[in-house]
Amino acid sequence: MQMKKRGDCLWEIAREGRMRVPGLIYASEEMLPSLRDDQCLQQVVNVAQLPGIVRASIAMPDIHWGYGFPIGGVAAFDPDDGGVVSPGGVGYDINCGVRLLRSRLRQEEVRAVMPDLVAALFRNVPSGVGSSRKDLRLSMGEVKQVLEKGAAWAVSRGFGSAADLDHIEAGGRIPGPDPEAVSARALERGRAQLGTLGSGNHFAEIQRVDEVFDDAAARALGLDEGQVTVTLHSGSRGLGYQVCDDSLQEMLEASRRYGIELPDRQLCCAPLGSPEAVRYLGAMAAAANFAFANRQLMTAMVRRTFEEVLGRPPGDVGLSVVYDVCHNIAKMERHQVGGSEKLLCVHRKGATRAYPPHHPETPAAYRSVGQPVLIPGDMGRYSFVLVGTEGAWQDTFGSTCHGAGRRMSRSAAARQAKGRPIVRELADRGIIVRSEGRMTLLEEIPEAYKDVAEVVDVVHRAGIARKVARLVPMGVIKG
Amino acid sequence: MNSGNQTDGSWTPFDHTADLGVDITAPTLPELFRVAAVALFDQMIGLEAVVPARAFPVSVTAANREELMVRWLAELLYLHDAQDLLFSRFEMEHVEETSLRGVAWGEPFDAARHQMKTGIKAVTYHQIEVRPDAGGWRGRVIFDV
Repeated sequence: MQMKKRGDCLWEIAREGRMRVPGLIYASEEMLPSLRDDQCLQQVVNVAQLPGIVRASIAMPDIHWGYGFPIGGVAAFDPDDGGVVSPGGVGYDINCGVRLLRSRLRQEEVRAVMPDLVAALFRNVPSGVGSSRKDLRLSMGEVKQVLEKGAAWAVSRGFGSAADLDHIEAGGRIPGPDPEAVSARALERGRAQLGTLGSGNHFAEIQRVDEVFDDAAARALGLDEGQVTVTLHSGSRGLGYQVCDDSLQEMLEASRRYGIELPDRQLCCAPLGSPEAVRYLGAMAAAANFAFANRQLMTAMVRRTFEEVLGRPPGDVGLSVVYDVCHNIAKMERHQVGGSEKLLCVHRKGATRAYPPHHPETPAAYRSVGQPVLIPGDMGRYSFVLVGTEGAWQDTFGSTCHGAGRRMSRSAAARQAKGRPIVRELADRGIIVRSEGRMTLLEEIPEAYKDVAEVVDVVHRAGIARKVARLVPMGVIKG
Repeated sequence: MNSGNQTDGSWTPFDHTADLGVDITAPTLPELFRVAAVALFDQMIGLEAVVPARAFPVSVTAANREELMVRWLAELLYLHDAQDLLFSRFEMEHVEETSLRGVAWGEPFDAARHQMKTGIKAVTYHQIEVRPDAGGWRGRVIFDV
């Protein structure tokens, strides 16, 4: 596969064969060999073959081999040019995303009680495979309300405040949810899982702001060095997986019906505007809203845990929402194409929206600096806060990277970590970790991931996001 | 390589960067489907931990044998996630190109005895393979973790 250098951190796979547009890869020179060893570049090429794709099949520096779309892939489709929506371009965990909370606490205030905080968090936020809440049993009618209203449903039930909603992508509700397009099976899978973390790479992490790179932006986001923050990484749980699974069956049929040739079955899709596409987008929005409500519920649990452990009155610790981003989603968005504005279906599969300063969808408090972008790293090193830029708006449909990206497969990581006292290794570095799953800690060792600092440096240098602050873990719970 | 516990078919996990894949070989198509189910639950929990106490009948249909494989495994995963069930033994009663009937033997999840190994969330269609090979059958499945 030929790759031409197009910029400091930008590479192009020229259009050839069945590709309708070129592939564009954001990566440093040093990252290229490992990308070539992976199947992710072929996946960039496969996405470039889908009908109605606009401008390019784009990959972020955290790209790795997914299924269908690469993880770290961005693609926009034009409904007026036969453009499609593909459940494989969103993934199973619909609206998997990240939420950042900023506290009024300094790291010195929590250091001594960190073991208690992590233990209490582990107790209060259910985690692990198939984790469920015994204290929150919803009727099917109530689950449909969650799908309809998103994070606002949780706030209406006393989990958080209206101010939280102003600091969530899309206000915590993707428009156009269709709860009737969500199967009984999906509702059943999701019912007991609202307010739970899940397993795999999902986590809740207590952090401190370790370094600020951009004072003005950090001030706007309410972040300063030494401050305690909390990051949540989770999604739509079993409900989202079932919506995706149901949709893939429909879309395989639809692809055959509409005569769409698929380089990979997982890229099955339907033309935007078709009944299948309308149904999927309605079900996807419903699942995305479930994920927003899920993170909202966990936010309330985190606040209560801090107040209990530190013996503070409600509201005293802060933990207000800085922002909440989706990184597995397809959205209808307005973008400039060839000098005119077009409504496009932008797929972000392991990629984060990164809208520039002064965009109407950016919360008023952040309008001068840009939309916050939350990039988690691994549990042993650091995570980053960035803001969206004009460059992202121009070049990547307002998108940037989403995380570190794996360097090792899960089994390779587990082999390397076998027999090692991972909990003690991390404790020696000042990080207290609790995990539900036997294998999770082994599969999630820090060295299994690329250095997220390198990923973030690439998007910063390429101008598709700007670094604001670095967060360092103090306590982590994993599924 | 892992035996499918009735000795005929076998499966091997292979590395996929973020997720988990298995390659399966078997002398017959029904055995390939059976061993794929064994591989799924062995990765998730380890078969020895699960008592095959109760039988759960499973029937699925699909447009072709590759999609049938995904539907079969996705059905088992659904029963696991929605009804908290674990399985360790599988019997294939009828397997054709587009339909399948089988029985999964298992028990409800019990936190006192069961500890999950890897949380498999979905069965993907990516690089799915079910094909005749050297007088037998060969399959490949990638799971979302």
